[in-house]
Amino acid sequence: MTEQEAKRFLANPDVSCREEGPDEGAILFNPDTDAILVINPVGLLIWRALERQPHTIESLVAVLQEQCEDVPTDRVAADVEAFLQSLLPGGFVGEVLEDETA
Amino acid sequence: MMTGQQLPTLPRIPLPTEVEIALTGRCNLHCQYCFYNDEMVARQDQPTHVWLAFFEELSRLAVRRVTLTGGEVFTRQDFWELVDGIIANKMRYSILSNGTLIDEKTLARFQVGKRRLRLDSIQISIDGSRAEIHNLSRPNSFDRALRGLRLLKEAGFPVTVRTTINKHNLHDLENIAKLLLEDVGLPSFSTNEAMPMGAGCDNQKSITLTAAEKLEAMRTMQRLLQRYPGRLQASAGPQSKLKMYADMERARRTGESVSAYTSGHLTACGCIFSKLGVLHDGTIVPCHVLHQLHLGHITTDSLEEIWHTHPIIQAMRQRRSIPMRQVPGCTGCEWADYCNGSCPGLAYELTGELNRANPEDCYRRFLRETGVTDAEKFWLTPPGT
Repeated sequence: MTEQEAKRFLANPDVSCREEGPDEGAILFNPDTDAILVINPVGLLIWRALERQPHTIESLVAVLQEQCEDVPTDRVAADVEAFLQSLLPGGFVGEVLEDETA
Repeated sequence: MMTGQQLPTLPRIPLPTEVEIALTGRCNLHCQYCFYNDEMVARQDQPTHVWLAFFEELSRLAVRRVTLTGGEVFTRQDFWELVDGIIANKMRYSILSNGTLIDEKTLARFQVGKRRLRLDSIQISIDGSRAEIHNLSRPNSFDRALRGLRLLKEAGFPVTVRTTINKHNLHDLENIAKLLLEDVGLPSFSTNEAMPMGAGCDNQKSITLTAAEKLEAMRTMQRLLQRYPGRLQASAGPQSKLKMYADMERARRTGESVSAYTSGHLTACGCIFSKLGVLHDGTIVPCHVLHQLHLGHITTDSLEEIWHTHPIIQAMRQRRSIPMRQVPGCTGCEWADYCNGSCPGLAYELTGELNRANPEDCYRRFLRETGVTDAEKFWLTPPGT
């Protein structure tokens, strides 16, 4: 497992998530940074998982495979990683440090 | 309220992103144009726990920001508890204040937790460059307001100023701009205009501008816009009218709409598509200018249900489909195809009907009352060129 694959991520509990309607994704708002991010329905599935507990990229792929049909692992892992990278700059998610979980 | 015509059904509008909340009806000042008149003062403030519960409802709806106003918000003993409630519920906030109760202790209290981090802006009202003028509309408050403003500015707060243009400060606008932009060093400030509402109604002759005075204020604002480019803002009042009237002249000259969405229909003000207001007694209103239109109460009604289904909200959104040529009082107006009816709040306040144009901003009336003859040349050509 690479260093990147071992990283665990968690949703920032101060971020609000607005779902405007079924199958429409959501809008994330970080009131600390005033950042807004529009996410699609798959992004919303990932977000809800990150709200519940810390996840690695691998465990997020597993979440998607549980809830969606025909999820190719390799390609989805790259998409999940890209999605996490889009969440990091605005402070929507954070990386869980080992000493925090000890 | 309705014109009787069949209006189209609107698509579902996303929930409000912002709510303007009057936390209290109490104020330590008695300004001459305050629209919080006797009827409003008679309403009772809501207790702490009611506001905190309401903030939780806003959080469930993922509302992003609230604007706190009054009355004067700093008269509330539980003000900081309420701010912390906003923060706990994942929102940012702005404050509208007269500035007189802001001192070093206030600044220190902003440093607790995320109070300062989540503060979008704090707006102070300054109506004159010196006490003799400011105090005529905002009695006995200039020194304290300016002190509060300077404290906030020097401490690096996101402080802004609103100047309400009225009879007393009409000839002081250039000095006010110098005070705020050069002496205090604000990046910008905004203006509006005293309106015949609330106390402004009672004091109309001594506070609100005549047509000739409005024209003079507009000419002054035009000079100031040249002197301080990009540093004067307005969403109402003389500076705003300057742009609105110039847009109308330009549209009429070129035959093109000012914009595809903002002319020829009652399209003015998009607030009802993204905001709601709450009075200090918990009454939910479309906005504070439309405080007579009660939509419900924060203790008994669902904000989400009001937003999606209340007939008044629906009617306000449907105004946009009404052509100006069908608006009572505007039929036959040569400017109808270039006008958007301006503020619906003032239209309702002054005419008693929602689907009317705001007479205070009527260009035809303005031209008639001021006697401006070469309107196009005046509005489209900067002075001194």
